[in-house]
Amino acid sequence: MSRRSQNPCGSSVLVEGLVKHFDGRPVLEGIDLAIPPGRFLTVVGKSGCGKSTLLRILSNLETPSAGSARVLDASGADAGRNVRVVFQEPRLLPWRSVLDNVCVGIRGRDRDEKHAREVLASVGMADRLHEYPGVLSGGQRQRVAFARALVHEPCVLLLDEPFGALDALTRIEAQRLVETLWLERGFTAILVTHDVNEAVLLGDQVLLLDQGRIAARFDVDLPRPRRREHPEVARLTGAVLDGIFGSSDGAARSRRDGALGTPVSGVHTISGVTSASG
Amino acid sequence: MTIGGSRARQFVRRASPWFAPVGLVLVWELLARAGAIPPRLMPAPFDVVLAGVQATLHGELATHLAVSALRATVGLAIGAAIGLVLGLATGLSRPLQLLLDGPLQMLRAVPALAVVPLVILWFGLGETGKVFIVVMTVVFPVYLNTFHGVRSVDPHLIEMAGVYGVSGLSLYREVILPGAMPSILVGLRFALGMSWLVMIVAETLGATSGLGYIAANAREFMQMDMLVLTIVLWALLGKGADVLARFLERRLLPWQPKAQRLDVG
Repeated sequence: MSRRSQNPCGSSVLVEGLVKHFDGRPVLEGIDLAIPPGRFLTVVGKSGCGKSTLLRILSNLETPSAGSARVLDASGADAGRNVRVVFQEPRLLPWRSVLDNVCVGIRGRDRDEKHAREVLASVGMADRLHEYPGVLSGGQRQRVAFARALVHEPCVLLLDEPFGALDALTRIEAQRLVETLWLERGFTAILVTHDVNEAVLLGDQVLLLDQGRIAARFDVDLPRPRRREHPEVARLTGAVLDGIFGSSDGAARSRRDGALGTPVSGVHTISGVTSASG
Repeated sequence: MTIGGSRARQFVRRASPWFAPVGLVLVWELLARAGAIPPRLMPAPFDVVLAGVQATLHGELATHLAVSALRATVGLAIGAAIGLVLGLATGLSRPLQLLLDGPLQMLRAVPALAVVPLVILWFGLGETGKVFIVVMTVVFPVYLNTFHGVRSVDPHLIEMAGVYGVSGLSLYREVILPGAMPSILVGLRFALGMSWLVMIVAETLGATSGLGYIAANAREFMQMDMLVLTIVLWALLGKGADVLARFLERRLLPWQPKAQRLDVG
């Protein structure tokens, strides 16, 4: 971890008593989270567990029904504007060149092409600056989408299944890229994914959501870059999967926990979390 | 494959759209010369060209063409602008859609030519009436396609723009308008073709100048060569409108993958 850069703004993410209903249907039912600056949190869970909604609330794309989700800078002031999102689809503007896509939302004098080129170079897209997204491959488009987020030097990067639409090999490449960028730049990262192995490979902590609640937290204290076949990675992946398929059925879950003997090492109950209700 | 071979193939590809029209004219000329087609019913192509040259030399043809072109252009500009504004308004605002779309759909069903007598009554035989009819015709294709274009802009892109701080006027300029542009251009293309069509018909009904007037005049005096000349000009102008639309598409949508373009060349 010595290679880690400092978080540029020391931003932490604080989620307190977060509740979200859609037309009366509960999606998130009381989430409490405190993510220290520069951490890489991965969120997994079955479809409909609320993981994407959590990310959308943090991106200000949804408003909480109750509670709060805030990004704070080192002094505790609101730093929500330093949050950037990478979506599952690259969402590039087809009528703009790669360079212009990266500069989207940057107006006039603030537009720093040199910086944009540097960021594009850091994602390996330095030689495609003036091409339209239509001629790029899926992986290349997603690289541009990463550059578009990083050009703002975000303190917090939200990743909503950004590898979901990529083929298996491109996916591995993109995962490594994100890890490298995170190590270099030190932003706080929250990655929502349905790929448990990916969550264990990338996360400092894996958060398991089930039916709108945090079902478990797994600390992953392994050196980076991690390898898929590393026994500890495999063991933790298995533990998270057990958590997913056991957690919807309380009895099965306790049986499984019992069978494992001791709680999986690294499974924490809430630690370092400020609870809203006090 | 040699370079010469690919050149020849390129030539064939370039020339192939001309095969059918040129062949048709040749057959027509031959049949007319052989006496198979009575000149009273259908003049030979060469005679039509001759009539064209004569009319051009006398100066009247160019003037009439210019008058028609001016009417069509003015009508097209006004109509397309109205259609664009209406389409953007209804596409972006549900209340405006509720308010305007119904009446517009009703008006759309009315053929512009059905209101020609009314227009002559209102505006006389002057320029205003002609332009009015063109405007009435071109508003709808532009309106419908703009509306459709605005509505079909990918909501994911709009959401992305919001996250990256693109809002207000910039959102329309940078995301919605370019997103709707392919559809708007389709509307404009229809409008271009229709503007000529409706205007020339309007001119045959009551005018003292323009291409339609020449056609009406030629019919009156049984000048078959002049009549066919106006038809040929009509076809050429249609082709010209098409070329213009493709040019606009290439200029305004350079990002579109070639396969999606109308242009095959």
